[in-house]
Amino acid sequence: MEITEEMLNHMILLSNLQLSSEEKKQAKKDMEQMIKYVSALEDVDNINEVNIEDDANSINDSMDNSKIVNVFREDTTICYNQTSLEGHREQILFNAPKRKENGFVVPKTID
Amino acid sequence: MNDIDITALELSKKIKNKELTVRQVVESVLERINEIEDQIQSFLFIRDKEELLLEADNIQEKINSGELCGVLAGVPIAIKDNICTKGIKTTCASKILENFIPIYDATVIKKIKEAGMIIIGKTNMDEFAMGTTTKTSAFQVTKNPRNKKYTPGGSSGGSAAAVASKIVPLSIGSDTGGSIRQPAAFCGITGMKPTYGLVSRNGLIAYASSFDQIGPMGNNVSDCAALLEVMSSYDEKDATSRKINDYQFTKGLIENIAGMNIGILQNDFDNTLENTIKKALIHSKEMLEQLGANVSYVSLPFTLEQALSTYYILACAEASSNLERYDGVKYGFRAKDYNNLQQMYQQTRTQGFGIEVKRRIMLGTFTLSSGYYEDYYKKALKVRNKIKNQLAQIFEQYDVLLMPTAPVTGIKLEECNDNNPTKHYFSDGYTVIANLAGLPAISVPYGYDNNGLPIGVQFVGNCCEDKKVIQAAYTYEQKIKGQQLKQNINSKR
Repeated sequence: MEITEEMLNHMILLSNLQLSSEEKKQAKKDMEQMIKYVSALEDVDNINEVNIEDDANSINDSMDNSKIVNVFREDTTICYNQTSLEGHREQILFNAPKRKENGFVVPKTID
Repeated sequence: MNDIDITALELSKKIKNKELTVRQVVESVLERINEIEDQIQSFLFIRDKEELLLEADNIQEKINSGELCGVLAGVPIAIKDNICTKGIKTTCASKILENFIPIYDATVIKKIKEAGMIIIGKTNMDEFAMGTTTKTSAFQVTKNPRNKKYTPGGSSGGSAAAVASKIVPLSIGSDTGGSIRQPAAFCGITGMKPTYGLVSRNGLIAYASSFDQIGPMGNNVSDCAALLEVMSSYDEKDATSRKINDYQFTKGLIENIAGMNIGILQNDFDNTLENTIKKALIHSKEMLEQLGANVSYVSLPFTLEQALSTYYILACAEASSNLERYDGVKYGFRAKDYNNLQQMYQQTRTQGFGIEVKRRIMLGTFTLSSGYYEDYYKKALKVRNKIKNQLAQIFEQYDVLLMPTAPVTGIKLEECNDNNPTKHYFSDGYTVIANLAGLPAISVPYGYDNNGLPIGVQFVGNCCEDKKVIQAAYTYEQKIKGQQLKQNINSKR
């Protein structure tokens, strides 16, 4: 399959990446090679005999011979006092690349 | 490093019998690191000596008082760097997580700490576990301790090399498409991918969630079974965790396969299976028959090419979704120059991810994108289901399957080339089968080829029959002992 420039740009955008024109040339080549590599499924026949209701089920089915059900648990409430709350906040912000007081700093998100 | 030249179980026994102290064990680990780590480069991070010795003394006290009585108490262990360790940097061998320090321990880490094991450090790997050579690591190149011109395999190459170079008797890896078993085979050690769901994935940094599974790597089947017993549990923090009745995997260490039905895989991948490995399988068949097993050849109804295509489509699709979280906001690397939010995301990801990770994200994005979803992602899901059903039918006739772990005995470092993305994908051909169906599989050493490279073979079992897989591998290992060519890993090649 040929990856057109339009397709490539669309994928780069969806992947949240930015590539130079040189890198794009290589990426186009790589993508074509990889897509060719994963094309062995084109000749799989009788695929319709497989009954999948939806994708999530099929993922679960492929792990298990028994019927899989969704895993739920009751909500739990944790009460924090001021000190433990600050401790938790510090933990959450501990790895922040950029922070200010009790928040993550990001570029302006609204115009 | 004579102390570590024994198995983990023997080591722990010696500590219990007061023939060795935990401090002595840790000191000899550090000594061995000084001797060999410069050449092998298996660790991304090694803990501070004083901190380790202090921990060793604490564990010694608990062993002396009887508080710690597990079979692996006092045993040193290395952890793949995609498993979260509280307060210890966990990078996934990626620039994007270069300075990430988890604020919690993965469930498996909690469990090995409770068992009194000592984490020595974090091991090198392919970036985000995407690779088969450990060469896609953003930080360093790990060499195969058996032959330094070769890669240790991947993605858990550092964990395999740390055991093979006798720094630690046990390590932990993760296996998405063969990432425990293939490096175990290349480095001449034992590595097991348990049934999907037996070991909690809580705290494992996700690559492809429906495939990823944590497992043990060690010098023999007994040590791996003991570590699996320590690591496995039902965990409500992992929605795909599985409850089983009995987690005592060491019960599978029975030297008897009389009457067991064993199928030997006949499928080849594009004629890539090396002759020495073919011969190893033929010889293995004879040995298993001598042990009383009913052995016959079996052909899979799907091709290895189809299994690989299915795996790469689904794994990359899941990866493209899982790796969306790396945006430079809450943790990890953030690019310096940007004018707006979109640019911050794009620059952060472009500068933070390596080439193989970007490729897989883009392939995954493609197979999930409108217009291609049906032909790629959805079709692969259906084929995965079909493969799973076909394997279930095969296991109605066979207890376990024996197959090569990898089609080759090694990949040369100089053959790893950034410009050829699919060159080494085929080396996952035999291992992905177990991941596609969530099955247990263990790679054990057979011996060495003419170049001194180890040959690994794997036993694959039906879902939740991990004990049976361990039993087959253990019996095989006992038979093969003594027949193996000894190879000095310190020999300069």
